[in-house]
Amino acid sequence: MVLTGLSLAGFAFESGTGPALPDNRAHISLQTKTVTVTGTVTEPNGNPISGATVVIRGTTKGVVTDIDGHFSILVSPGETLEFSFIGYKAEAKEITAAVNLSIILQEELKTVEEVVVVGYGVQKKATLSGSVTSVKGTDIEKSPAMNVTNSIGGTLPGLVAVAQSGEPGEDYSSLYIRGRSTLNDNSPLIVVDGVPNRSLERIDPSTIESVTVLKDASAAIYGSQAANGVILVTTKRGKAGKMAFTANFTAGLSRPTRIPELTNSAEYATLVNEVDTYDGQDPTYSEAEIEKYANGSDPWSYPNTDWFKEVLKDWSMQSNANITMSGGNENLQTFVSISSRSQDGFFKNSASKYAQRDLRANIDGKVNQYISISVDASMRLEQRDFPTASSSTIFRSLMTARPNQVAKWPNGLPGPPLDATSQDNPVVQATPDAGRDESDNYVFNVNAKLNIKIPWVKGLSVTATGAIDRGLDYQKDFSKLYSLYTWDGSTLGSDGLPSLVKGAYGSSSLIQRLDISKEYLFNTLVSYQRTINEIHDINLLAGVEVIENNSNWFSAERRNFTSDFPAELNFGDSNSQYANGSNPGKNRWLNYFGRVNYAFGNKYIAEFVWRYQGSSKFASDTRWGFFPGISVAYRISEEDFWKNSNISKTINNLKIRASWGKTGNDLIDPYQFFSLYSQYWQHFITGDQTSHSTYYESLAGNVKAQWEEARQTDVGFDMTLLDNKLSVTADYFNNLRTKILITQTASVPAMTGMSDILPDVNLGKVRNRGFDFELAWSDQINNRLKYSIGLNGSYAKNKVLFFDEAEGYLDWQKQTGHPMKSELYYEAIGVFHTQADLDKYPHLDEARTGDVIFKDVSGDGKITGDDMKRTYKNIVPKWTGGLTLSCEYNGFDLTALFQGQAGAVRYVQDLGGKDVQNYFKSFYDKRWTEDNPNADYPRTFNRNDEYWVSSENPNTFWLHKTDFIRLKNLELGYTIPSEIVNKIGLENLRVHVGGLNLFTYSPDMKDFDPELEPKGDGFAGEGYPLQKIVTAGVTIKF
Amino acid sequence: MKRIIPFIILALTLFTVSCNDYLDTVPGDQYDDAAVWSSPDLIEDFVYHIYQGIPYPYQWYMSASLVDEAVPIQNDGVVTRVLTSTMTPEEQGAFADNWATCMENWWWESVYTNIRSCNMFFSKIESAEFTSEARKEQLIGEVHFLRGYFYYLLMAQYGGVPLVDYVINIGDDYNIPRNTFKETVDFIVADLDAAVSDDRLALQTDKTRATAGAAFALKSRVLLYAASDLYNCNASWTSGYSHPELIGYVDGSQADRYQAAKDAAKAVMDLGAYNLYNEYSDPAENFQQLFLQMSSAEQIFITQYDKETFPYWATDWLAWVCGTPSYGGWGLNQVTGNLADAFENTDGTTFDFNAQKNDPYSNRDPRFYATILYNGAPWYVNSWGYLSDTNIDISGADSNSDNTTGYYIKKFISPGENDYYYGSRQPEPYIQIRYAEVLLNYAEACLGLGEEGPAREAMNIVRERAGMPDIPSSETGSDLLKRYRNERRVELAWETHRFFDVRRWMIAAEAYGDATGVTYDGNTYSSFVFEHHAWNNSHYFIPIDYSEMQKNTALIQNPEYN
Repeated sequence: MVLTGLSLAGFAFESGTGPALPDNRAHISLQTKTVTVTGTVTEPNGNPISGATVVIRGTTKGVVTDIDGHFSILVSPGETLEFSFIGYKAEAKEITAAVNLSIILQEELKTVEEVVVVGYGVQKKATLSGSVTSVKGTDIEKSPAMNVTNSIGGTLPGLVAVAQSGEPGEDYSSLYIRGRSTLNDNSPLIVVDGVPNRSLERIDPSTIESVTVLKDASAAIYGSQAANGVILVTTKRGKAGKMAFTANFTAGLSRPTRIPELTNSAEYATLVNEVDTYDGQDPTYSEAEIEKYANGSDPWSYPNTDWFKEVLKDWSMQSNANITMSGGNENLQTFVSISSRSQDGFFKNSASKYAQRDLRANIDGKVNQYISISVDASMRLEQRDFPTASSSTIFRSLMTARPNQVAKWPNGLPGPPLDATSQDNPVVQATPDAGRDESDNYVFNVNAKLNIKIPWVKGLSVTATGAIDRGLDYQKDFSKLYSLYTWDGSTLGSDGLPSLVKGAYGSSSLIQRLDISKEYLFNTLVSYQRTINEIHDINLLAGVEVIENNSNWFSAERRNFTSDFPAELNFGDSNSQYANGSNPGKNRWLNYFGRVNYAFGNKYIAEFVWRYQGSSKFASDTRWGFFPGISVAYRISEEDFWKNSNISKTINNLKIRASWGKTGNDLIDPYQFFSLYSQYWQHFITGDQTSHSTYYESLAGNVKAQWEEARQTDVGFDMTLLDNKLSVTADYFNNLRTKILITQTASVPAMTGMSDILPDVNLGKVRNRGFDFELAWSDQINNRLKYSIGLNGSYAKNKVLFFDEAEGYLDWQKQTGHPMKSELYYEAIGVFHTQADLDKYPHLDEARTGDVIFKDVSGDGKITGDDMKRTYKNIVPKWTGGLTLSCEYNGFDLTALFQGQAGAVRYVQDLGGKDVQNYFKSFYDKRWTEDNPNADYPRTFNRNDEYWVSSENPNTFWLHKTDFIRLKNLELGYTIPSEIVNKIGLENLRVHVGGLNLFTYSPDMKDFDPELEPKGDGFAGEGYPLQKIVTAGVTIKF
Repeated sequence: MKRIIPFIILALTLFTVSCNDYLDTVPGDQYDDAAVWSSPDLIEDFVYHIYQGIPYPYQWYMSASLVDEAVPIQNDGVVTRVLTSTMTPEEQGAFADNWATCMENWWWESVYTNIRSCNMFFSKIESAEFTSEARKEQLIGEVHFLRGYFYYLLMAQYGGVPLVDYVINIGDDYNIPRNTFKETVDFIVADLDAAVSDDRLALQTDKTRATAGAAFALKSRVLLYAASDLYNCNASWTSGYSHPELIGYVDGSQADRYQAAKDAAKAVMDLGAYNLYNEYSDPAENFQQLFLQMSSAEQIFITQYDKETFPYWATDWLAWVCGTPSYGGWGLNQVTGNLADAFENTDGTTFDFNAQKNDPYSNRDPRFYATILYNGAPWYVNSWGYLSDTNIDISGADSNSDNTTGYYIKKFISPGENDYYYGSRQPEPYIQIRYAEVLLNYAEACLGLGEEGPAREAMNIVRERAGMPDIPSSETGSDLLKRYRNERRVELAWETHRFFDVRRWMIAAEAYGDATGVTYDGNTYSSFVFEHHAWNNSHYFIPIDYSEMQKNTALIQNPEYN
């Protein structure tokens, strides 16, 4: 089809302005009688195609169709008319007489060779030699998640997504390609439309054409940033043809996937009494009081509060509206998308909210047959509202608040602070009554591309790309005092009701902050593409690129506002004002890179990619590195012996691939080579009351610091079977990561004074091995039921080959030789059910019946730090996978994505305490008591008083497996028959319902979502829970 | 077209040519090594930072709550492990980085970080160019004082420690053994002597920084510690510890050490630069005001707090976290009955709770009224911006949910300025070393030498200022020693001395008995056991962190751990 487009320039257009070339045959045709042929060219659904070419075969004479698809042309009988348009199969019609034709062009699907986006270009999928996988934007759009990183988990083999939070505006998943290979940052490089470091998270899914993952050494063209894999995002572009509008509106409801069940007042009081008994004290609560908690007869004095219920809504709203326009003609194509999305927090009268507005315009234009220009511009506004108390504070409060304390008094007024030492009551703190932390983040991404085909060398072209990105995040965090009501428990008012005392809590301050981030990129590529003798395919690329990014911020604060309005800095107390700011400096990269790709007869394929890269993060004599990648492929199914044998009937295509390469990871703090001195946040006040900035050694420099180095090997195959209905791809990988930058905190004693200022040293060594696979089956039954099933999975296991470890580490404490990032734990082997157990096992002096038994690993008859042992498991799963099901029947379509993982663990310790913290119901049910001595769980504890709940004694009792299977996405749609919608002027109308995280099975993780990776101190996985979302929506095309 | 090609070639060339400079960028918010050590002003700012490593006692859990001066109302491993003597090398409670910042800056890691800063200074200062040589010499003196201070912090907790006097670099041998207790004390004394040698600190009058007086006074404290029983008992409290030299003297005479301690205290007294604060005729008011002065002749070494960049935890921290609930405080660290009962009666007799329980708060040592808020004590209620006079009522609003000892802290808190954490901050500095301590150090050294007359005399100066009668000259021997120890306990209450005093005096078993409180039923007071504490001899010293032992295999653990 491309050829059709290119040759158009050579035609004489009756209606056009193209160059009129001499045509001898035109003179001949004048001598015969001509007839006028008219007609329309349409798509199968009846839409006219404007701009289609109608040419008399063998001549350069032709016309193009008008806006309604009409044409009119003079033809000699016996001549043949050819109808063509980009993206459609050409049609031909022999003309015998004057006639009015209705030509229907079928969309050309199979014949367009599938291409895959790779670094700095695209490649035919058939002759790809690297391990590359991709997912279409349309599949991502099916997820109601607001963040793309939460949508792509389970869709791609080898891509692991670990959810971090469900908070609107803060929800995201950490992405790992083929698990983790380094002890440091494992984040893959994200490249959006050729520009690195753009956000994948917040990109509008309706503008995504495809997401491609480079998993192996084919990423070496990205050099020292490629070792963790590269994710390439390509946005949609306009297609020539009638302007097509698609509008979509989806509304949804969300709620937490899981919240832990906690004890009620009576149960809590029972536990507190047990703590008292163990402490040798009188019980805090009498039987009568516990009875009052249980029967709820006196809600003022004996409340029974379900804190989650008091603070969280049943369902929270979200919505997503989007309109895209796509269309154009041969010379100018545009794609425009406008979106608006919003999501409410889980809280009642929530101070937590997120809204996003997107505008994208991608324009492609052709100046002449040699020069084309593309300009892409996108603007995004991310509006985040948060409570002034962090959501982790609020959820921690909800989990820990005592049930026998009121959230709200029976008369509706908010209750007292959670305890005497706090200002906290989440009933108020989750709402704007305590103020609001609002930020508007503006993201501008602009890039332009100039492509020149060198006329005098066939196949040679030069492309220059420039990109300018800006981010402006403007934050206004206004905390205000709020009222809480306390009651002394006895004083009654004149109305006989308890008289509440109003008090002001919280604090009053306004912090305004502006963050600016800037990035520019400029590159020039020279590419050469030739097929010689129809058998040698040569593809060459070379380029040079500069990239710079930097950021800075400043903030200003005033406290003690006299009133809640106006919330502007000058209304605060000028005696309490603070300003701050920082500019970490510029990161710059200078890159030379290239690719040599050679295919012999479409059978033997070899590719070499390279990058020579310099980075400002490192000292001048260590900053340059060369990163090569080699891959080869053999399409055995293209051999004649294969084609001629019966096996080709079963295995239609088979390609075997192998690759090796060296890449780097430079995701470390820059300037490790300097000895650095920083300003301390606190000032020193001398006797004369002057305030002095102070400086301290913040980094002991390491002049040799460099990127980490990865040697990646990959062997795999792609095949299609059974009439191409089944496709199978599988890869084995073996990645060796060396020069891993580690701070030697484990081996350098604190006594050196360097504990907090250790530089990164290129010392670590990790091997990461595994495999990933993808199976896809698609078929149709009776032409009416179309269905497809996709299964993907991956397994990655790493092993530390060298690591910084303390000299005195015992064998069972070493990381070396085992999977990395696992912690030291005491091994909990049960509970001391009876005194006999205590006598039997070595134990700490303070241990008693009902405590957790720590295993005496060292066998010395004592429990000491020597008995801590590594588990060799961590929060990143070894096994991950996804199962996609989709089918279409009679206008109905159904898509389901199941996601699963296995092999990861998470530390989830019960909180709980006598004066301040509630306990989990699961703990209450299973705990040891004198009456239940054979319990699985230990006795009731108070905060971290007992050795087995102390943060210094992490133990496997609290370690839970996070294995799960969940129905991640579900979408059911129905497309109204076109006969009906055409009548109301629409082309297509589809209604759909769907959901996210609708169902989860996780046998060992019941109180919390198994997918959530805890942030903060991570004691019990507190933090904003993940979302379960149900949606309904409508999509209209016109 | 043809015009574009040369442009591209030109652009390519420009990249390549300018590439070297292009990649040289610098951090925008930090200094490098050369910038700091070539600027006298930045060097001084670096030294200021070292001062910020001097411990500051106002924390969530006060150090007073680690011994019998106070109890923490929220129990937590941070303090419980210390109070019940169940610290282990794996769990050092308050003595390792903890969320409550209890004993912050005493921690092994923080102290050694600050020692590194001192050593870094010494390694660079020789080649630094100053226009004023006196300024340079003064800074050298100050850093000697600081390094001495940091080693004193380690000595008090661990005994002998590795004496690092150079900058350790990456890749050096980290297996550095502990020095003996004697070497550690000698090292500290040498640093304090170096601080004042060549009159380096002669012109320094700023008490937030090292002065000659501060160096002398610290030396008196260190030498008094060194002379104490704990370090001179040949580790009699433990059996079979093979390295007694790490935790005390194994030869020499205790008397010589007392003599050295006495001389050091005398040196401060002879400076004539310091005096006990005595400005108010009412001794109770005078003692309260002592801690609410921006400057006074009693101050020897002080810390000012940075109210601007760290406003929440300023000097009024105590009012906030330890204040009475009716005042708006959290009552987190509350005065024990044990401390309250230690205050004598006005006539100098010992307070007897049982005999005086109907009227326990009349006719007590004036310092009692300046230190402790008791039932019926006048105080100010904060109603969000307004202070009004009222009385503490431990059976009512000040009960803190029935979880109270019946006593709150009054010392250090300024009722006038204290508008809690919304208003203006209490500006007064914390007094790290004051003259009364030096007098008491002198008295204790004299007692150790059997010189009871001068001891009594020094104590009487302190008592006189407090409005207490002289110690009868008939009081001698163990009675006098007991009186001295009580005097020091009362005078220096909550000033971070008691924790170490009970150890070096080896009376910890008694100090870690039950903590008591009082209740009031409207007529009479009764004492009750607020909390059980426990003593284990291992806790004379703090255990060295387990992981530190793994990293530095030359370290030897303190006795009775493992």
